Amino acid sequence: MSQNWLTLFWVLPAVGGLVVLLGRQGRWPALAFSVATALYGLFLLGPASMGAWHVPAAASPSWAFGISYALDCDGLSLSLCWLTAFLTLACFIASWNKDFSPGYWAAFLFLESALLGVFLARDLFLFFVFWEAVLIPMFFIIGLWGMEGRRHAAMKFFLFTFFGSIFLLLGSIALVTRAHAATGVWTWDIAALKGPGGTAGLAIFAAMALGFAVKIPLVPLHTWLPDAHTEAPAAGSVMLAGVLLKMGVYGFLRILWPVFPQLSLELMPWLMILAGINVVYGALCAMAQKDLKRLIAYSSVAHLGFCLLGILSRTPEGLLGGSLQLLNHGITTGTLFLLVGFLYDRGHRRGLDDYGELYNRAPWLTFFFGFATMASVGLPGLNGFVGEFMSLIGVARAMRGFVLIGVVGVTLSAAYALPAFQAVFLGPAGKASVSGKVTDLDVREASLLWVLCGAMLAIGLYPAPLLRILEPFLLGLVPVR
Amino acid sequence: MSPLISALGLLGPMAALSAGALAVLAVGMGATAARHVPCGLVKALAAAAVLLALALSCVAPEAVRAPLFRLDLLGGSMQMVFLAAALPLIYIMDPGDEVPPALVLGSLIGMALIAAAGNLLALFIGLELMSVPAYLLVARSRCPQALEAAVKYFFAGSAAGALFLMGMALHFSAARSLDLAPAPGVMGEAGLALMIAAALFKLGAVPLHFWLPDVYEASDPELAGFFSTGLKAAAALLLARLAGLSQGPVLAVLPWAAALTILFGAAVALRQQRLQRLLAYSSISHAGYMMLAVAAWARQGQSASAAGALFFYLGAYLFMSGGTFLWLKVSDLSSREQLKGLGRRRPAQAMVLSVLLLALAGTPPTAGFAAKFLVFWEAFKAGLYAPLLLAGLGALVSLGYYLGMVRDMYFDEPVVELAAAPEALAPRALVTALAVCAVLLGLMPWLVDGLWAGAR
Repeated sequence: MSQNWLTLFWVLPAVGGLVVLLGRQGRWPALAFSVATALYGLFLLGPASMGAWHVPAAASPSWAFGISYALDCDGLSLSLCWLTAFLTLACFIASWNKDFSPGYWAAFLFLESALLGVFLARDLFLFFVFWEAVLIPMFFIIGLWGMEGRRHAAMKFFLFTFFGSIFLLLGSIALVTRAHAATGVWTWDIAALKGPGGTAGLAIFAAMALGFAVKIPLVPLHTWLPDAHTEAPAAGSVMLAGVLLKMGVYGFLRILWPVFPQLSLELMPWLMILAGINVVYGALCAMAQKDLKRLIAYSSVAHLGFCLLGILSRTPEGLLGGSLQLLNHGITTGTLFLLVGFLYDRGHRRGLDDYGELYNRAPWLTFFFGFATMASVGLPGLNGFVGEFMSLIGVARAMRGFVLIGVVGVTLSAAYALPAFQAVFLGPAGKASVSGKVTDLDVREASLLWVLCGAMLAIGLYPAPLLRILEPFLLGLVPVR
Repeated sequence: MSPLISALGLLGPMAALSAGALAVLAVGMGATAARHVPCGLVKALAAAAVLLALALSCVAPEAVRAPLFRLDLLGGSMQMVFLAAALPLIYIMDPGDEVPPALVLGSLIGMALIAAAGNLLALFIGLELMSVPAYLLVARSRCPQALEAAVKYFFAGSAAGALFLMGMALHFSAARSLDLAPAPGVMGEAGLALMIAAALFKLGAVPLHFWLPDVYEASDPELAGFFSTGLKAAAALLLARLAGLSQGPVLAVLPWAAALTILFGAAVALRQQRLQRLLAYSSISHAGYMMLAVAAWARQGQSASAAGALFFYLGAYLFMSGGTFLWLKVSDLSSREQLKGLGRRRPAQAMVLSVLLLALAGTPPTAGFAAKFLVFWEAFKAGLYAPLLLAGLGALVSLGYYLGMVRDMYFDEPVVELAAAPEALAPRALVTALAVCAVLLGLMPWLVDGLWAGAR
């Protein structure tokens, strides 16, 4: 099985972007290409689950300087690629009634292409190139089609990530050079690289972790996120929260854990503390927000901390739960941002106090919002519960004391999400009394939400198939104790 | 290889350029009677001479040594860069008479001499031969301040020449020869430091950059573009030739000077409102990366891979910076304010400039990224960790204005009235081609890898 099948996966949306941009036709080709990409992702499941593309390092020829064009697709990559492809499609369906220029649709396709590249790349250099390429379309999505503060937010987003990327790049260079000094071979293949020990190893780990931490984002590097999420257009927020934040955790899983197996265990308590701060601080910030989008943005900080806690535990339950939570958070928070977008289209406001008494004006909107909120809080039977519960089991097995942080985090998540839902949908009509303008969802919006909420319920009731897809790579990360 | 072929590779470019310059001047003298100089013919002759020199510099791929001359891979590759950098200038310039093309060729002869010099005296002659036509070219620019800038350039440049001479004298007193060989003792290192200061002056390194922004701003954009690419390539080569002689102290300072140059240029560029001045400071910042590459090359015992990184950086910079300056010429814009809202007014031009700026900023997958990556890598291999970190932060600062200009173009409303864009198609196509190359080169760094592997 050649890598061309995987190349097609990330090139397909890029070609779509070019077609849309040069053809000056917005919606239809964009939709066609994103549907094609999503279906193609499903088609890849069979070969990927059999490990068909796993090419040994020696087999892929070096392209220059030991860099090779190496793609591979295992369960973890595939599930995140699915998330990317289907959320892009959801964004297109959600923006269907907007009169955007072709550039908008093209930017999302380019973004999708770069994200797929990030999840498929198995060469550190290639990974970095895709990692950076994600920034450019997102910069334009925020800056061109965002809200009133978009100029500032777009710059902030780009500069913050670039800051982290510099450390990621320097760390990668250091890692490769050290590996060459040890083995005599220039290679950028992630599977073949092994981090050095001692201070050098610690420095390299810290530099690369800093690059990933900006993206997750770990407190205190998170300050770009509320601005970017709030000022981005609704679909842009969906991609930001749904997929871009996952890149950081994915970097930990795909690169730092295999390359530094020993060091990552030794540093576990410290990283756990950082992730714990994320869980609590993000939740507390979310409680203080008056703007619906900012609230969901801060809740993402907390949820990503949760994913990281599970992954840090390096136990089977924790790794699986954390990775599953990555997908869950993508689906749930993506849905919430879509809903806020629908709400904003009608009322043109995002303040919690501006709305109220929507349950009788827009019952379906209320229902779906409530449903997604429950999934986000982690109600048993919905997807959030599975991921959080498994993560907590993992944390309990590795570092017992940190379970408390998880419990506090879950409690706090209810403490910000439910009052927000109440204020917007159930409480008395707001001062701005824009509730009168809010109509219920139309067929297009409702059917999209049925699918998304159905996915939440399905994963919540029967997560086994997904877990089986995720297992092979993740269980290889569990240290032999 | 036969001696004839060697001589052809070594002296052929200089001979071709000299012949071209004489032919250009002859055409001009013949035309004075007719009161009308055929500019098209003059430019064609000059371009032909440069192309011939370019072809000849590919003749001798292996090292040659002669008493006053020597040719090696680094010199030959840099020669390709500055010769190629002159082509767009010659193509797009509007000379009025035969003098400017002849001056460009004269400056190129000096650069070719630097590339082929095997001796300090030849280096010095090359340096002066490169600089004097440059002063005159600045003086002939259209800007009202051109003459003032040229005088400033001339005095500062003369001081640099004097520094070089003093350094040469010290070197001679220590080594008793003017060969390109290390001179022993404090005297030798001090002489080297003075000569390196002259090279850094030409490169525009902080704090010897004070002349550069004024000169770039007062020059015609295409000329400033040539200064930022061709002249910098020659100056980087001069720096490399000298840094290769160092025994230690100078090489310890050079990386820090590079980091300072990167950060200072980027920080000052942030505050500029006039585009040509902004690009001048940005070129100072880029000179810092070239210095870093030279320092890494010298500290690793003049490794071929570091030479490759320097070559790739300058090759990429040729497209990015040359393209940006030519864009200024083609678009006829001069201030950042005029960029606001350009994405809607002139979408094609804004797109081309955005690509060039993102390349200059070093975002993947452009040539700017590949170039910075190679320099970082070589600097790491040479163990320059702290300067490297500062250089990385400099790249972050530079995003503030590169990306800031992209933001102005696309995310802002227009604030000033623009005159209609010039209609000429060919120059616009040239700028677009440069921008496309600035991206494609980024996808093909193995080109330089292959060049160097083939040469080893």
